[in-house]
Order: sequence, then structure tokens, then C-alpha cells
Amino acid sequence: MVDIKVENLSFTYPGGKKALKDINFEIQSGRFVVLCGESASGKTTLLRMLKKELSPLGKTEGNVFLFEKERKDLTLRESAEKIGFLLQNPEFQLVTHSVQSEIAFGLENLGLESGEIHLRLAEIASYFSLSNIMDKKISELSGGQKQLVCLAAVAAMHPSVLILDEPTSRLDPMTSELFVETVFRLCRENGITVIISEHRLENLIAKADRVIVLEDGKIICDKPPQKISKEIFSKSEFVKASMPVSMRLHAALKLDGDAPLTVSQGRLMLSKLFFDKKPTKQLNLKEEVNQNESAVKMRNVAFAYDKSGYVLKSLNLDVKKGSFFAILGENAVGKSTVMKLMCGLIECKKGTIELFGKNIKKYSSTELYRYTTAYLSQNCENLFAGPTIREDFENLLKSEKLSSQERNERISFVSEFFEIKNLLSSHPYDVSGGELQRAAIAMTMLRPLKLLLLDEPTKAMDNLFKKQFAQKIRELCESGVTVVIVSHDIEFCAKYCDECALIFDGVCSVQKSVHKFFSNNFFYTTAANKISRHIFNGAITESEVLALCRDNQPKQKL
Amino acid sequence: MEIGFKALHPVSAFLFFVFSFLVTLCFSHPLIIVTSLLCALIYDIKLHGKKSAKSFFLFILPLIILITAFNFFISHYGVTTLYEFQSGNRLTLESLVYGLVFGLKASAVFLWLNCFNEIITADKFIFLFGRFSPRTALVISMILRFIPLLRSQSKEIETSRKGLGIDSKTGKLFERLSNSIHSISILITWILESAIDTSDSMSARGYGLKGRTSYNKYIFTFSDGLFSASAILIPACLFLFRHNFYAVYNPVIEITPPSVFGFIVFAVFLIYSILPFVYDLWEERLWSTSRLKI
Amino acid sequence: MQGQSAKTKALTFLTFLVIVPLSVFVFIKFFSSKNYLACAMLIIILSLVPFFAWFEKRKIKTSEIVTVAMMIAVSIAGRAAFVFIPQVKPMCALVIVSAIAFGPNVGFITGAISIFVSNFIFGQGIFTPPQMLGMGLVGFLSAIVFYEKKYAANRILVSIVGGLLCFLVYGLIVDSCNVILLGNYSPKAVLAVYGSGLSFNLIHAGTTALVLFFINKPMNDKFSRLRIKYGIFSSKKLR
Repeated sequence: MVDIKVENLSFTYPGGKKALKDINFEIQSGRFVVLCGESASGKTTLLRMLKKELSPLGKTEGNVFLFEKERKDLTLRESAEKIGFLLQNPEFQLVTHSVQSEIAFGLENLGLESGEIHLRLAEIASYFSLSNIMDKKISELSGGQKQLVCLAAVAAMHPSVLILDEPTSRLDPMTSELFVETVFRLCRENGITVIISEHRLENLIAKADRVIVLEDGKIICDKPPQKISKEIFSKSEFVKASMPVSMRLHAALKLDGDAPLTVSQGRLMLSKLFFDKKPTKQLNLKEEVNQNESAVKMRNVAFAYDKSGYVLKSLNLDVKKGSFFAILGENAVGKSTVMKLMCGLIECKKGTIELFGKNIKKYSSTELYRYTTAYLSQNCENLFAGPTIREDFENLLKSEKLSSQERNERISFVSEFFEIKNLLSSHPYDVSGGELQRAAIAMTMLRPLKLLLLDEPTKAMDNLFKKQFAQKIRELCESGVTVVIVSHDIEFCAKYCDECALIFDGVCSVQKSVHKFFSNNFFYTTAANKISRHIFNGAITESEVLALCRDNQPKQKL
Repeated sequence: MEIGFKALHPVSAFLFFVFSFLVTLCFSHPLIIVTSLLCALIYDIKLHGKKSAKSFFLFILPLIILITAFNFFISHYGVTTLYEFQSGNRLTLESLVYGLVFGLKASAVFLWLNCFNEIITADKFIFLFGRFSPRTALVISMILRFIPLLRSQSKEIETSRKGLGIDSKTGKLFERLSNSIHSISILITWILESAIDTSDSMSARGYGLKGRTSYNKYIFTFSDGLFSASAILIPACLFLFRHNFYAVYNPVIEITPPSVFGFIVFAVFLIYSILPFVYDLWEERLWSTSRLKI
Repeated sequence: MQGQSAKTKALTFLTFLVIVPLSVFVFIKFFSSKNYLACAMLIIILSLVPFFAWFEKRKIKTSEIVTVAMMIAVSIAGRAAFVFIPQVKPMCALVIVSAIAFGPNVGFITGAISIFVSNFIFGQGIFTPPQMLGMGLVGFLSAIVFYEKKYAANRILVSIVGGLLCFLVYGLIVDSCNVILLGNYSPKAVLAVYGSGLSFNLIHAGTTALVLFFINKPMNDKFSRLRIKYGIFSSKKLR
């Protein structure tokens, strides 16, 4: 049975922007399809074309068939009932104040009787194990639970097709994996067709029956993931950057056969390559020690938010000037607390913190926040009110008594450095998440700062954007600014940071250069390291593994 | 799940409170007022414990004294002079008694409201409202969803802006005010920009289709029926036989002493007012023993 | 009230011309003693009915309902942004700016529900209905003055009128209920009550005007963006 069939679909927005160009595909019932592509490649537009109520206004050519009916013949009731749609941000998809009324909301709209709704609630509560949160208020839930409630609310309507538009972009990696697992289960156990668009593809690809890649409004790839060939990799920067490491290695080594999708398949691939001989060349590690003086020096720092217990017990940390430093650790181990201590947002009551050789307590707040350090939280929308980004920039500079010429100079300087000149006159909510992040950093750098603290900066970025972002940060570091980030993103830290520290149980368990840190770990390390560990020592990034493979097998023209 | 009065169907609980307010507001007979006040106080203490006693001494008692004193010193009607000022103004017994009764009446209403706020939770109110104005009920539910969201976001905005030295704690008063207003402007942009997401999520789930129902999770049991019936009938009796509880204070105090029949009606009213308290106690006893028997 | 259906118009007339006088008559007939408090409450609650009936029956976009709910939530939660200046309660100002964008009737609803839900959180009091009526009327009247008018962009005018409405309408209604609650209607007593409320009302009106002065322009920007981008509250003939 074909659930969705798209024929020669093109779509043009009223402004004249062509979002979709000649799209063709069909999806069988019960499949798990991953849709990916750069931001603004038309993913959201395409997904919304499949849901009548949410379709954007504009010129549509071609046809969309849903359940073997033309889209315009599908009634709104059928569309609401049979096609479930989940958006990015769980916070704003939840409409009512309690879990129970949220799940009942869609069922009420369909006009079900109370008895029937009660039955569905019972069913959903047991399937998603929601019984213990069923009576709670939405505001008492965690981010992951909220997204789960969104999913449950849609699932309660018994949909045949489930469309998810970047559903995990606001969640941390662990929670988002759990969420995707639940969606996968819905597909496999209940035969619901799933179309999911995502920017974090590492764990998703292996589950997919098919991967559709959009680029600039066109489909450039529509295949089962194993069959994504090196040709496609060479054609698209996005594919090259976003597919799981094992697939990227497979393509870069120009190997034949099905691409390995998981770490274990990747290990097998390398084992086959080197099955008869041990590699002769290993990674040549030159440890460059940053000899600069410390930007941040924390000694025996302890902190507790209240008397319920210490968050940090005795923390020692050294961040060198001009380095790109990452603080790693699980959820709620106090990573953000460390950051807030560093910039004096919370007071250090035990131990000492020195910024650039001076005790943080001796800084006045003006000196601290206007000339020394800035802290950017995860949600950088927190800094923008609009109507344009430029106005927000000007607003920040208001407190400094500058002439209008000086002000303009500063704005044009940072906007050139961060390449956001074209964004200045846009509304902050009209630009993409990654762009806004960049604008926020630019905003903080309007003042001559020496230490920049970023909380989870890469959360909403795809791999391609991360690369550009890291380049900018590196440039910033070279100009003498120290950048500290808190992150869950192991791959990002391994690739681009200089040093990292792992926080656990209130202390900094280790502070090392990135390379040493990840190559010694077994679980907490990059996919490239996991794949290559049994062959090469200490390779942590894909490019290192690739170089080693080539060095060791010159004969096979790798 | 709750037990006792809290577990009753919202309709019965609501009816009970509405008629309690109505009786307290409409009657001026001291017997009725004092009964209502005492029953409300007892139930309030049952619900809120120490907090209730505290609010009684800090708020209710001063309120009674204030209203009494206000009337006593400002009104000069009545025939029984207690004290005469040189200006010719008199303090009268009538105005004192009237003020006292009025103060007791207002306090009784306040105490019933305290209980009302505890029993009629947001969920129950939304259910009640949903019966005759589903849209308003939905809007209220949405507001209750957005408020905590806004509060936590507001905190985050403050933290973010403090990290740049532009929060509402730094600077002079004017700067602080301007920073506060900017914060709230950011907050409003943030939430309004998401209005479209929320409405998308609503229409994706079929909001706006014809024939929307509203889910009723409350079950109307036999005890709910009894409660509702008595919540209507007993006050109705009281209104019907109101001549037994006639009282005026101006210009002369005139309070009807209740007849035997009046006493019977009054006794029924007393039972009615104390019902929530007794029902709670009874249910607590009932369920505290059931585990022992297993 | 333009743009109402004949049914709701009839309902409004019915309430004001028939039901209100009738119920007051019945009340007085039954209780010859002076039951002003119960009477006043009855009138106030009945006068809220037509607005809510109108809101229930009117065709309104989903996104508009969401926006109204959001602005009400902001007007209640907005206090958190001003914790350090406790005298400032932005609710009235936010109700006024929202009402100016939404139109008179939705403005009334915005004001009335703001009070209702905020009392829900902080505890319903006996004054909930009059406060609802007062805040609703502030919203209603400010929209009558400024809705879709060019001079709505004049922030000095908006803040002056807003402050006045807050002082005269809201203050007057709530203080009048204080008078009724205290149960004494001699001129001296009435004056004393109004006088004691004066300082509070002045501060309330003053801060409202101040907040309005600052927030008028940014709010105008935000609403006109919504109007252009999503067509929310854009049609002239609706309200």
C-alpha cells in the first residue's frame, strides 16, 4: 500500500523564492524514512506539503497523493486523524496545562465521546509508560518528557502516518536517542509510516529504510542508507559532512559494497582491510603545550545552590589564554555551574577564581561584564527583541557613552568579522538557529572582551554549519580571545577544541589536551576512535583515521 | 487521587459554595451569619491547618474590627445613644451592631473563598467553564500553560542579560527600569513569535473541526447527587422561610427570634454548612481502616 | 460594539435591559433590607456575560486565540521582570497595549481573563468580578480610543490616556466595591474610602503610564509584524 505519493511537485513562495523543484517519490506503508538536507533546503516546506492544514501559501505545481487520494480531496478531518505532525519545539506544541488534557485535546477535536477518550488515554499511558506523569502539570516535566507527551498526544489520534520535523533539535543527545527509539518502535510495532527530518544523523541513519536528501529544493538522493554511494558523497558537501563516520570512511576509501552504518560494521570494515597485516605506521603525536599564562584559574572551588548538597566539591581548572576549551560531562553534573562561576553570575563562596591573574571578586560588575567576559546561554533568542538585529546591537551599546560614529564602526567591524552583515536588517527570528548563534556571539564581541563563555553552542547546528562556526571561533582564539564551551557534542570537541575537562561528582576528574583525553577513553569517545581503536592507536577524528589508512596501504590506491 | 470533599464532582462542590456565598450575602440574621462564619472557619482550619489560624488572627479578626469601627465612628443613625460628641454626632448601639454583623458577614465570605480556592482547582474550574464556554475554558488552560513557561524564560533572560551586564539589577533606577522593560520586550517577542507554532500544532490536531467535544474525567456518583440536591434544596428552604430570620438594624435593631419551626430550618442549615467538614472526616475514617483489614 | 451577530446583540440588550433590572427588582422585593453587596455582584457578573458569549460565538482564527492567551499570560507573568521595582505592576499597561491591537471586545476579554486567572493563582477574592469588569472596561475603552487609529503610535497620548483609564475606571470600580463591602453609605464614609484608595490608585496609574510610555513602540512593532507575517488581527471589519 502506498501511503504517500508525490508527483512532479514544485512550490514557489509568494515572494518568488522557489522552495521545491520537481519532487518525485512514494512511500510504502510502514516505512521509516529519514529526510535530510542543509537548513533552508526545503525540508520543512516539503513536510508541510504533506499536511493539508499546515501547507504554506504559494504556487503549487504537481500532485500530492495521500492514501491514494489527491490532497485536495482529503477532508480536514481525515488529515487531522490520519497524519500526525510534530514540530521542533515541544514547548510551543503543548497547548494545555496538564498532560491529561493535552493528550485529550486532539481527541476532543475529533469529537470523541468521553468514554472513548478515557480508553485512549489508558491505552496511550500504558504504551508510552506515562502513568506516573499523567496527573502532572506540563510545567513540571523535563524537556524529553515534554516531547514524549507531544508524541503521545499525536499517537492517541491513531495516525497512519507520522511526520516529524526536527523533533529532537532541542534535546540533548541521550534524550533524543531515547525519543527516536520510541518513534522507531511506533513504526516497527504498529506499522505507522514515519517520515523524520533531522540534522543529527549519526544514530538515525542505521534505523532508516530510506534516506532522502534534499539540496536546494531538489532530491539528490533517495536510497536505502547502505546504498548511498561515493558518487553522492562527492556530489554533496552536506552528505559528506553529516553521514555517520563509518559511511564517510567507506566512501572516502572508495570501497565497494554496502556502506557500514554502525560502529560495529565500521570496525568490521577496517578489520577486513587490515586482516593480514598489522599497520606499520601509527599516529605521530606531537604534543603542543600552550605556554600562555592562565585566563581562568580555579582553585578548590566549591559550590552549592542551597543546603541540599554540593554541586561542586573541590574543582581545579586552568584555562590558558587564547585557547578553545571544552567542559564535558553528563547532564546536571554542574557544567553550567562552572561556567556561571567563571563569569561571576553566581558567587564563588569557597575557593578562589582568578581571571587573567586577578581575583574575580575584585572586579566591579561593569569591568567584569563590559570589558572582560560574556556568558551566552543555550538559547540565544534570550538576547533579541527585534525588530532588527541591528537595533538590538545598538541597544546593547546604549549603556556605553559612544558617539554614533563609534557605534557604527563597532557594529560594522563585528558584523564583518562574523560575516553577518546581510543579517543586520533582518528580524532575529527570521534567521536560522545557527545564524542567530553567530549574531549573538557577534553581539557580545561588540565590547572588547577577553573571555567568551558559550553554553552548548552547537545544539541547533548541522555538521556543515558546525565546521564554519568552528573556523570563526578559531579565528577569534587566534586574535587572543579565550573561548570556553560547555558541550555534549563529543565529535565537535574532538575535532576543534584544544583542551577539555571532564566534570564528574563535583570535581574536575581530568583536564587534558583533547587528543590525549579521547584516545584514552573507551566509552566516552568519538565514533572514529571506536571504529579504529583495534587497528590504530590514538586516532580520534575521521581525517586521522583516513590518513592512517592511506599511509598504511599505498598499494591499493587508497 | 483525592478523597473527601476534594474528590466530589466539580458541579456539586461548586453548587455548595455558590449557595453558601449567596446565603451569607443575603441574610443578616446573626444566627445565620455566625453559623456560616464558624463552619467556614472550621473547614478552613481543616484544609489549611496552621496557616488558616494565622490568617484568622492577622487578617480576618482585624477585618471584623475595622469594619465595625468604621461603621461605629462614621454612622450616626439609631436610637440608642452610647456617647455624644460635642459637635452633636452620636455613637449608637445600632451602628455598632450593624457594623459587627457586616464585618462577620464579610469574614464569612472570605473564609468560604479560602476553602473554595483549595477545593475548586484549576482543572475543576476549566471543566465547569467548559460546559458553557469551551473556548474560554481552553484559553484559560492555555494561559495556565504559558505562565510557568514565561516565568522560567523570564529568569533565563535575566541570567543571559546579566552575563552581559544589562540586567535589571545593574545600574541606576532609570537604567534598571529601562533594562526591565527591554527584558519584557524580549520575552514578548519570544512568545509571540511562537504563536504560530502553537496554532499550527492545534490545527494539525484538528482544532476547528466541527463537533468538538469536551472530555469529562469526573464521574457523577450517588454521593454527588445527594450533595447537589442538598446544596440546592436547603438554601431554597432557607429562602422560602426567610421571614423566620428577619433582621434590621436601622433605625432600630429588630431581630426575629426564631420559632420552633425556624429552629428546625436553622438546624438543617447548620448541618448543611458543616457538611464538608463532616464528610471529610467521615471519608478519612472510612479509608484509614481499610488497610488494616487486609 | 460593531461587528456582532444579531444573536449576541440581542443577548446584550436582553441582559442590560431586562435581566439586570428584573433581577435587581426581584432581589429588592425579596429582601427589603439593603443587600447592596449581593445586588452589585449580580449586576457585575451579568454584565460580563455578553462579552464572553460574544467571544464564544465569534469566528476567530486559531492563531488569534493563541495570541490572546499569550498576551494574557504575559500580563500576569510580566511582574517577574519587575521584581526589583515592586511598585510596578505591568498588567494594566500590557492589557492596554494588547487591547489596542486586538480591538474593543477582545480587549475586554483580555482584561477580564487577566484578572480572573491571576486571581486564580493568587487566590480568588470577593473582588474578582468587579476587578474583572474594571480591567475589562479599561481594555475596552482604550481600544475604543486607539484601535486602528493613527494616533495609537503617539506614545505620550497613549500613556496619558492609559493612565487616566487605569485611575478613573479601574480605580473607581474597585473602590466603589470597597464602599459596598464596608456597608456604609453616608457621604463621609464614601469619601473616606475613596480617599484611602487614592494613593494606591495614583501609583498604579502612574506606573501604568510609565510602562506604557516605554513599551508602546516595541509592542506596536511586534504586533504589526504579526499582522504582516501571519495576518493575525489584521482585518478591519471584524471587530
